[in-house]
Amino acid sequence: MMICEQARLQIGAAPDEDSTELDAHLTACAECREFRIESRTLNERIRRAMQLPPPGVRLAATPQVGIGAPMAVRPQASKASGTRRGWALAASVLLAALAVLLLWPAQSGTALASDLVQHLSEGHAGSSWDNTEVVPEGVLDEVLRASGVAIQADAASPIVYAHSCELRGRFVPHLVMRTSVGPLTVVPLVGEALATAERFSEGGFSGVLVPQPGGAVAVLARGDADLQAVARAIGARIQLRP
Amino acid sequence: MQVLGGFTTNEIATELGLTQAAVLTRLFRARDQLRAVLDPRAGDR
Repeated sequence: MMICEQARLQIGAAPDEDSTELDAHLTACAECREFRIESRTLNERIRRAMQLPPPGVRLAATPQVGIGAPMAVRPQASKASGTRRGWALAASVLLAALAVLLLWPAQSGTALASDLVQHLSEGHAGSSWDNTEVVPEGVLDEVLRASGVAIQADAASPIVYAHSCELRGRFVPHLVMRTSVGPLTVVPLVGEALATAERFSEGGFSGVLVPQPGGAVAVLARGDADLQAVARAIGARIQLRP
Repeated sequence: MQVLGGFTTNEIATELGLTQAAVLTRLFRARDQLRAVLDPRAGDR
């Protein structure tokens, strides 16, 4: 014989489902009958709430898909329709996963550029562009080693700023190089996967994200600049060790 | 799955690889939390 605790769990989890044991209990227990009525009312409120479009979203007059779509509630599910639903669910999950895989490289590049621009726009990073003193070798080594990065030195483009900065949950070297095209911020990004090189212009900065074995390298300048050639040259001097 | 898809707790358990008891517990807790948000007085019942 089902006790009240079991009946409440069954009703609270699935107010519309019946079972012989539950029916027998409800026949004898007025409190649980009352609880089922309340639970079914709540269920109806949830169902109606889920048919409403999210706030701020304007939908067509009769939406056919998505959260705002009219809901198909199955009163009597057959085994066959359950299987079809299972396949439909699996297909939706697979399609969503494919969409994420296909769109991820483009999305990650765009988001990465925005995160870099935001980082350069805040705090100590603002004054880093105007440094002129070459960073001592020991300091540079420490910053690079902390992130698994190695850079081949080049007297023609000395590093005048080196700081280990937190970006997207990792510590990355934030470097400024003095080059023939002016000061450039260079950020080696171990583990950041990019499908292709990407140019961006955002927030008063222009830049290039260059894919590298083991991650990517970001090269940024103030204002508009064509950095692809110089970014490739800088990238060739950098090794990333994931 | 239950409210929009019309799945039974048994079907949800099969789809998600859980026991039916686990599904019942999760659905119960979810509704209980919703009930508490929508009607705080109901928590005493």
